[in-house]
Amino acid sequence: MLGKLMKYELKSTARILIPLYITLLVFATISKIFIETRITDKLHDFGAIPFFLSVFGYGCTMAAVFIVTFFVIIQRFYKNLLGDEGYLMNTLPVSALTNITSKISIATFWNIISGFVAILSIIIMAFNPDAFSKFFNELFRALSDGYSEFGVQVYIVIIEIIIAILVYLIKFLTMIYASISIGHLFNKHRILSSFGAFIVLNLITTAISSTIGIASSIAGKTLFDNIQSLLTIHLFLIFAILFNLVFFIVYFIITNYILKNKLNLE
Amino acid sequence: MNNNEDNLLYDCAENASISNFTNNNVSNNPILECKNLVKTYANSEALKGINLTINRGRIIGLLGPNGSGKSTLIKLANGLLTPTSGEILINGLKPGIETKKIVSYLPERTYLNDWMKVSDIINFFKDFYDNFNPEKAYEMLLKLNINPNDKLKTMSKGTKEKVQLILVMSREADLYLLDEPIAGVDPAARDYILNTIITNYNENATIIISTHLISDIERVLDDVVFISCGEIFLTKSVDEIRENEGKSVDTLFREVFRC
Repeated sequence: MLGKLMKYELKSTARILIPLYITLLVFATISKIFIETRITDKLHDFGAIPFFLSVFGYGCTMAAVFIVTFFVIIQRFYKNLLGDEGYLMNTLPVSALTNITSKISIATFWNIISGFVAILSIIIMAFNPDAFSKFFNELFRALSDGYSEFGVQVYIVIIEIIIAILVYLIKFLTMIYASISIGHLFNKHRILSSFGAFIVLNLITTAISSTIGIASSIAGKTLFDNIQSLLTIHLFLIFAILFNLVFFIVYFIITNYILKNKLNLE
Repeated sequence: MNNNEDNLLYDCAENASISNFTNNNVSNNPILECKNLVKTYANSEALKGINLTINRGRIIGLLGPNGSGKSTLIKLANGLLTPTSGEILINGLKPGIETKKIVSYLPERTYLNDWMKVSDIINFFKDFYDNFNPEKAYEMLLKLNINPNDKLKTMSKGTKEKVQLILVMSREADLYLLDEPIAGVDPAARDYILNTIITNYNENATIIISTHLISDIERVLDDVVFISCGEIFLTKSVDEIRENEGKSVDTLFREVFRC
């Protein structure tokens, strides 16, 4: 059932996001063509307008990609599970857990894709064969330098960073869902209550993380001062992953509990 | 006629009044049961401790004025609302995955995506409900002149309601919960839909139709439940009303809920 839910979730979000991605890449390509052909140098006054428009369009679409991704994620959860469409989604023979899992996985997927498309558009804009080969040469040299100094640890750190970003992303999305669900507990002003819940959850998370951060940096200062290795970075990253994982689980449980036991569709 | 059906007929005859009926026989346990069911909203009591038992193989009219608690009761049965106290059981179970498999629900609002085609939604139902019969759905669409390749966006409110009803009635469910199924549909289609409802379900299934358009559906009903201000006012079989009171359900309703 999870697979089927994800399939429909993907379909209903792709139809909004894919055209946006295409628009962004098209604007990037047009701007690049303008830059490459140096057409702006030959054109004066009004001739430069198309170039500025395409760059402006690129900037706007870039912003739109992230705003819309964010908005779609919220709207899919709110409208599809707690709005009118919830009358269908909540009467399907699937558990609340499955419904939430499908939402989180697809939302995470689109966030990652939006990031990749944004990077791709920048690459298109900045494409220059010489600079690119230089960049990759430098990158690989840095990696091999790191490898010769620290061994396989460098790659482990990179993997840890990627996992940390992913876990942070999932935690953030689940925090949004938990906020919307908490807002749903109120009989009136549900959207306003959701905003309130988000602010409170965010405050709690930040307070706890900064307390632990300060405490551990004081404790760790003497401990790690003289150690010449990536151990500190490892510990920091693993801790960040575990910390966000714990919060993700808590938010997930809150969301699931409310959708399963406290559902009250208007 | 097999033994099981005999049993059912016997039960129905013995218990003309559908409330206060209990039977421990597993195969014939009530499809829907409410025990002291209470639902309160922010500042009003929608259901005030309802006790109700509904058996299999009946077509029941859930009748009451606007705001009497009809939709609340149906939404509770679907798990879309959480009871304040008391409980509601379907086939002996609290609303959950198992009950959702056997309940086919028509809400009073449109729950379909605007951008989907009718055929997309049929595939959706086929994916999620094992008891959904797509052939039946396409057949009914054809009868009602609805093109399966039309998007819902282009459809009128009445047509959307027809599509939803077709989807709901194309499931081979044990319990159909129809909330105002004919309110927005023209009288010609109304007749077809009512005929579909009474011919398209198996004999052990129960249909609960909530409405205030009583005269239109009276002829298909076996029993009626009058609900008023969150309380069950009366539960009787239609035959009983006709015989004992000598009047139609519509007339009785107008008398009972006279303003």
